[in-house]
Amino acid sequence: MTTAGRAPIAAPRTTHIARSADQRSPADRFAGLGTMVRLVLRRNRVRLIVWLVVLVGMYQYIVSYYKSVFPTQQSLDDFAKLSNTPGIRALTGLSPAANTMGGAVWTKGWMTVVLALAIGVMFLVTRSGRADEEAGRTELLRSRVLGVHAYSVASWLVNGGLCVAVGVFIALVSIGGSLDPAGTGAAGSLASDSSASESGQSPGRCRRPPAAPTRSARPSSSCSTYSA
Amino acid sequence: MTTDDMAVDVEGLTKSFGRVHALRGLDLRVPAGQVTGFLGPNGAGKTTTIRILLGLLKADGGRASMLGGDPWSDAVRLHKNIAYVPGDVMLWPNLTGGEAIDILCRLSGPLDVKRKQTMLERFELDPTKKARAYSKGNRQKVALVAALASNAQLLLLDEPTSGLDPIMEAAFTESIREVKAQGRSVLLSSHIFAEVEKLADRITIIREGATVETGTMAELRHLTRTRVTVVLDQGADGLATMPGVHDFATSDGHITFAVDEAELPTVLTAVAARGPRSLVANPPSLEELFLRHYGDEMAALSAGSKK
Repeated sequence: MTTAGRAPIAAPRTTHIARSADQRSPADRFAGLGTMVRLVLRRNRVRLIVWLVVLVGMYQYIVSYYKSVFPTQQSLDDFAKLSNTPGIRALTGLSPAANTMGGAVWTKGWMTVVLALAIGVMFLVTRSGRADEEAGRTELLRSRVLGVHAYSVASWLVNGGLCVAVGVFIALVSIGGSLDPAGTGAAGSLASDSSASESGQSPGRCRRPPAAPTRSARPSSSCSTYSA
Repeated sequence: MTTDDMAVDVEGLTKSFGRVHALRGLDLRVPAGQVTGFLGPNGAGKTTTIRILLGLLKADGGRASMLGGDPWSDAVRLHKNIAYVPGDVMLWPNLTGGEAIDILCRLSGPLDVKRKQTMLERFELDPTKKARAYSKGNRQKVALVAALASNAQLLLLDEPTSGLDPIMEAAFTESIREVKAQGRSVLLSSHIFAEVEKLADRITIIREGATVETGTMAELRHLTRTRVTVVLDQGADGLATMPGVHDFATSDGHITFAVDEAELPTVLTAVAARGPRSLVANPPSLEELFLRHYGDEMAALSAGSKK
């Protein structure tokens, strides 16, 4: 003890709290979830819309731009050949059907959109997580009827919703741009949808409690690396 | 009084942060339907105690019960009946004050719109402004309105009026009196002695994580001295040497001294016989009581450093 010599101070008592009091009721963990979803949506409504519009818009732009850049099958074949070099493959991955319009757009856009979405979700998770806590804003919330996981689950739900929305819109853009090779229906577009949604959510999953809590509001680097 | 009559019953509470002992066996009782003042110098452990009561921190030892439940394991259930105002309110900069109030109230059950409106008017708060445009006092009002608009059985107030102007402090005093009249309980931690003195039925003074004094104002004044200032026509001969008279001083015809509570009748009889033209008698204020406790500590520290 560091306080030796200060006579008037009582020594700490050693009575211990009953064991039964250690556990919190599991039923209470998600109390207030609906209100927290509303709070996360309200706080981030502009951000969420901007991320959605920018990412889907970027994908749409790639589609229309590539249609003008690669008007012939010959040009698509050349692009596929170029994409199949080790350097480009390492940067973007290689589409299984690189010599189709869908494959070319995938090569150009998929990695960019997915990485941007992953980074965006990481910012959003931090914003409704540690950043809020460190600013002391969660104290008032936690003095109310709020389950221990309600806020983080609400944030995960909203960010997951953003990922799904981006994926769905990318699929719609792909279908709208007739990117699917003849005879495959919308399979390729839907694959882009699910892969974008999934990948976007991965950093959210990494940073969501009860995974090891990070000490600061900085994004953890282990989650931001993504391999194609 | 039994435990059922206590909104808060804390006994021997301990909490350490690493090597720092924030609480060393703190005792605190808040009787139901009463306002309990909670005083202590900065860093004495007031906020730590309130955080333990809110279930934000877990006590290391001791016993704490609040509204008949355990503050840690029953936190969510208990919070239905609790309203909290911190001393430093942080809000979401891009939400308006009204939105913040709605979110806080909705978490604790259905929002009483009429009550919220009454409180907004009383505290003269514009709920349509974004929180980033609010001053410290206005942010404080947001938390106060959210707390007072609720039907909470227990209000935990941690320096609730910091940053409020005197008019709003009066509105706060009025609100707390209403809360008390409705039979609800309040734990009021404050640095404003006048406020605590006005509102509190009981007072607990803590120092360095332990309770040093607790009781009603009358009990705390017990064995203290009343300060008397008189102007006497017939001189003050003999007064200074009477038993129970201390710190006797004369300046400009005004005679000032302190009297032990027990000797007050005898001394005042003697004063009356000497033809007083004016007489002012002040019981010790809470500030003096507090400073006496705090002063002991200062004395002990300076004595320690002399060794």
